[in-house]
Amino acid sequence: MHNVSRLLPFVVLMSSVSNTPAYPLARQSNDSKSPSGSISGRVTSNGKPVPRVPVILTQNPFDGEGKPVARTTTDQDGRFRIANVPAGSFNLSAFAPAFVFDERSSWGQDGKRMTISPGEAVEGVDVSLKRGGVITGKVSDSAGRPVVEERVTLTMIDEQGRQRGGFDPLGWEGAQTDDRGIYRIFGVPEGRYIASVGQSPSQWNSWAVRGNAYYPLTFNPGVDDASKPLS
Amino acid sequence: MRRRIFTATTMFFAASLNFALMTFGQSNNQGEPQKSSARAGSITGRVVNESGKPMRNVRVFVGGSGRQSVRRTVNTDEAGRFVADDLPRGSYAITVQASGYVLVRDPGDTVHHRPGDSVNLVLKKGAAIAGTVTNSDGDPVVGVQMSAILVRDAQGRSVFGSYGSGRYTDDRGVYRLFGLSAGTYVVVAGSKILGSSMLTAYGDDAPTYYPSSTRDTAGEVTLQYGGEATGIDIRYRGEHGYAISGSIADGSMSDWLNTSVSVQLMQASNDTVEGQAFTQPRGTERAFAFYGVTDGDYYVTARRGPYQSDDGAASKRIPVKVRGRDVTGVGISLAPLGSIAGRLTLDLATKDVKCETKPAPAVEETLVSISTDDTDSSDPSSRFASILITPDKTGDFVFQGLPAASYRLDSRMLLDEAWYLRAMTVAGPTNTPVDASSRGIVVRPGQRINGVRFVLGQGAASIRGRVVAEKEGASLPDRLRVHLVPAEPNSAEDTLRFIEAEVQSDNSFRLVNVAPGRYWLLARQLPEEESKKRLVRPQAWNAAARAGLRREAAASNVAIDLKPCQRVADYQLRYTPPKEGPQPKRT
Repeated sequence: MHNVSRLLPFVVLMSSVSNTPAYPLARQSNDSKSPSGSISGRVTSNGKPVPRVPVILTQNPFDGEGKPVARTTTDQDGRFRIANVPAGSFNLSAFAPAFVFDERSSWGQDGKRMTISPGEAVEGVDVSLKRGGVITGKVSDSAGRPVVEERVTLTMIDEQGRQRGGFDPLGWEGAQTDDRGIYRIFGVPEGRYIASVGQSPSQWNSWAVRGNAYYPLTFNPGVDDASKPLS
Repeated sequence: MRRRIFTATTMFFAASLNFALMTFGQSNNQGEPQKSSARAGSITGRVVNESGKPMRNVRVFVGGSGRQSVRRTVNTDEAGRFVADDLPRGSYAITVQASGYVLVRDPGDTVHHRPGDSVNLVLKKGAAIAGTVTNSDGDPVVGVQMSAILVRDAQGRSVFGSYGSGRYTDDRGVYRLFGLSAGTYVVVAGSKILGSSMLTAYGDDAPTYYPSSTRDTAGEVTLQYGGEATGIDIRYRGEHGYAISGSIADGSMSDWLNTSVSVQLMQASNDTVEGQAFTQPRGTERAFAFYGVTDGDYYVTARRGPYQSDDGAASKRIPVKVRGRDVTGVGISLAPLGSIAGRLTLDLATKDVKCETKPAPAVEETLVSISTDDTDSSDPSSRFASILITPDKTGDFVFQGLPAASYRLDSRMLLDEAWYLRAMTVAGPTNTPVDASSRGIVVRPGQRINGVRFVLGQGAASIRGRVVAEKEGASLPDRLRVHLVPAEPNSAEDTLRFIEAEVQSDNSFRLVNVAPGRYWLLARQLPEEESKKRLVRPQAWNAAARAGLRREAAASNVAIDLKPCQRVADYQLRYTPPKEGPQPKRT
């Protein structure tokens, strides 16, 4: 299960390929007769309000249709209120790519899951964010030339060096190097990571019209196995 | 997995952008797969940067221009060299993609090559635009998609439908767009040009153009190759925009739901593209929506690509006014597009002199081009740059997806200088061939025109040279073109013998694929209003302009006799300004 809010831009792209709707034009309301509920609360970071952050309510489980059930933006005090919420199960998240959720219970579980009964008014929802880490650097080839438009992959590892999954930054290009070879991955949760570029030969495919020819899989800082983590 | 999906999207999107401008296809009447020709060969080449250094590990795409053609991707080696071997004969478009670089061709260079050719390609380092996006409090706007939209190319010509794609701002609000062609751009945060969606946090917002404006007052950024414009900071307005939604019906096809349909939103005042939307099937229709649209006057158009024997369909421009609220229920109906089909033959008759050059090209190694005759058409969908296709092995070709307009076809751009276009006809009312070179071919809505015939003859001549000023040391006017005008009285009306070429910045010119005969040479300035058009048409396409060129050429009387296969090099053409009096004007 991935972080839904970070996946959003990516889902747009996927939708246009698979022909599943990227946005429902007339969302069928589950039951127009049942009274609608509301959700209100506050977005904070280190106890301070986070103003002007988009708060997004999506269907849970994520239905692939993409369009949020509701969206709003926090005010100067970090407060938000979403009205006209139909009964159902939802995921409440803030679109704050530089932040991570404080209460992350396990890897990839982001946002708040909540179930709304008909007409229920849920108040005092605290969304607590923490500024995520930033990993930035430069990718060069063996001759010292910048490697451009190449994706940098972060793999989380535990104390024993075992891989614990990947990190999905904002959009595909979020982890790509620019024309100077520089990348910047932000909103990274606490942990130990291995940064790598390139693809193992089995992953490489001729579909990739953009970007470079094949670069072999290389781990930071320029070795070819996953021995040296960043933390 | 992720990469796979994204790249598929990129391809899909690129395809739909092309498709939005123009679609074309090739005759699909060869049921059986094409056998590899006996005369298979290779296209070789070298990719270098501006200073001539080899570019290694660069992807070269070798794509046949027919529907069933071979497409191949090869990488350059340490010396920048590539080889695409075992190619069936045909004409192949050679393109290169290298991250951060832009393939720049000299104006005379052809995109297409055939097996046996060696190709040199030059990559220039693309330009970059960087800056920070902040809100009215001065805080960074994180994760908003950025686009650089090319409005004029490096020569100052306006460009239709070209976008620098979007990366997102980072946690500091910083963005960097790179690998851009030289030219003039506007920069926009939260544009819907790459597809409209509600999904991101900024989906509802109206886009903000650099520095903090709407499209009308957007600041422009001019870039050179290898250049960098920094400090292109944007104060994000975050104003609420509105939605335009509706549905598309297509009465002309029953199973059209499987084809791709693209919808474009354009500013009514200047035809700039504001948004691009994909559509989904909904019942027997397709639904579309644009979000984050500001108050204003717009047009919505939809287009569907050719599908099997169908030539594609397009809508009229549907005017939409946005005034402070969402616009829903916009109905769009698609009407069939037209096509022009025909056959190209190589005349191997003995009355022609065979030039001793390369072996004769196969018919599938020739190219046929189409462009709109009417570049000022009120229907922007009919404006597109020239499109080239390759006939199949029988010489058959078809241009599909044509909006109603007048078109010009040509087959002058051959891969072989030994051949010239001798005749271009279209089937007349009694099926007798009628000359189609002196005026355009008019396609009425949904009309299928068959029976265009091209005949190429052997023994073409060519002239390469330089224009020199009337007085030594004087400078030449800009926008200069060299015209060949038929001097023989019985060819005076033969449009195919009016040949013209742009004079390059080093004052050189090149006139190739010329029918043997006697000609006058004339250098004339392209009228300024013509030079600003998106597509410069040959002046000789216009009957009045032909008469004017002939009058002036006869008066200046710089004549040349071109014998079959003659290759004139280092020709010096002295520029003489037009005599006082009215300039020949286009009507």
